[in-house]
Formats: sequence, C-alpha cells, structure tokens
Amino acid sequence: MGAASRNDIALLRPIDRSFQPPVCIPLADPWDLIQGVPVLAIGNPNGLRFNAVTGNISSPTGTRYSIDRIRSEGCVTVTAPINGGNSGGPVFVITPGGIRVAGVVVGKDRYAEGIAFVIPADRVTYAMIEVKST
Amino acid sequence: MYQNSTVNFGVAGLVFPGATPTNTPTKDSLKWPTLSVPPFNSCREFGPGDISYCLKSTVMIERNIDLQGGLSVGAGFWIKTDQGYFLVTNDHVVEGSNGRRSDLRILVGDGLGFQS
Repeated sequence: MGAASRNDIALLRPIDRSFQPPVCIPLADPWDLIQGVPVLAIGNPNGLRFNAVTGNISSPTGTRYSIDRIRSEGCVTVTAPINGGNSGGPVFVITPGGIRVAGVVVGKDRYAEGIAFVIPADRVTYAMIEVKST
Repeated sequence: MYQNSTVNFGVAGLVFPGATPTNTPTKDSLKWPTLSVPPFNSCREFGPGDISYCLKSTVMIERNIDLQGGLSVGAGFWIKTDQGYFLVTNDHVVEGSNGRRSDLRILVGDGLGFQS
C-alpha cells in the first residue's frame, strides 16, 4: 500500500494478484470536468452502504480543502450531497467516451450545504507516480 | 413617483407621434446570432443502469478506531493500471490515529469482502 499524503490519496494493492475486481472504470481527463455537467457520487454516508447521489460540477477550478488534519490542494467542487463515509469514494461523470471517474471525494464544507470537495482524477495519476518513486 | 414611460420622438418640442428612429430594433434585427456549439453528449443524467455499473467498481472500507468495536467508514474504487489493480481511497480513510494503515475491512460492491 502506498499513500500520497499531500493529496490525501491512498493506493492499496490486493496481496492476491489473481484478484480481479468486477468492474474498473477509467479515470477522466481534466477537460472532462466541465462546469455544470452531472456527476454521480457513490459512498457509505454515515455507514449506509453504497448510497448513490447525484449533483453537478459547481466549479472545476482548483480549490484548497483544509479541515482539521485533512488537506488537499486543487479540488473540484460538486453539488452532490456528501457526508462522512463518502470519503475516498468515486465521483463519476459521463464523457463522450463513456462513464469515467471524475475524482475522489475528500470532504464537504463544514458550514455550508451543497459544497463537496473532490480530488480530480489526474491527481490519482500523480499519486501513482509519487508512490512508485518512493 | 410614477413616470410616464411613453417616448415620443421629435425635434425641438415638435412631436411626431408614431415616428421611429432608424436604429429601432425590428423583428428581423432581434434574431439572436447562431452560436456554433459542438455536440456535447455528456450532459445527460445518470440512469439506473449507469448506477448499477458504477456500484460494481466501488467498495466500502471499514477501519477499527477503538477497542470497543467502533468503526470508521469510508469508500474507495478500483482502477486498472499497467502495474495491476489498485484500490483508490483517501489517506485519512485508511490511516489510523496511531499512524498505522492496516486492520481494514473492505466490502466490494458485489458483496465480496476481504481484510487487510
């Protein structure tokens, strides 16, 4: 397992190399994250298993997220209702090439509704490079 | 205070009812210019079929946070790389207060589970 703490991303690899997940959805490109496009977030809010909620990309511009010890730079904001338990979960977007992972949920605004922060998918790629080089 | 919004056009106090200046918009000049917008298919909403497909790539991650069986719950998803399969999540989901990143229970979207 590796962790890119600067971006709050962790990468885990199954020890059993023969393990094959049922579905792997490719990561989106940065230009797929367009203001206003619908997104789907799946997670386990408050321990409720596999809840799916929808929203839109409210801003594709990089925003800093910092609450308590959780910090991440260059986040995209979405309007999907996000709660504790959504952390680390995927946000999907439909691109002309099909469904893609837009990013990783990192948290929500503590004092406002409808502002959730998502680490864009290209940061996952950077994290892989970072983890590989350490 | 109410002001009469009727506008009459004239010169030096001579009013010509019904006269219009040359730059008054006409029905034809009010047409909006045609914008060239490329076809953008990705603006559709997610349907039930899309959601069930996405669910299969999603996992639930549980981590013990105390000896009383308290759990911290997060989520994650699978990606495929040339290095094999990886599970992506937040570092704050897998990192315990003691700094250890272990004792995780992972429930895969199709009901399969495994522990680290």
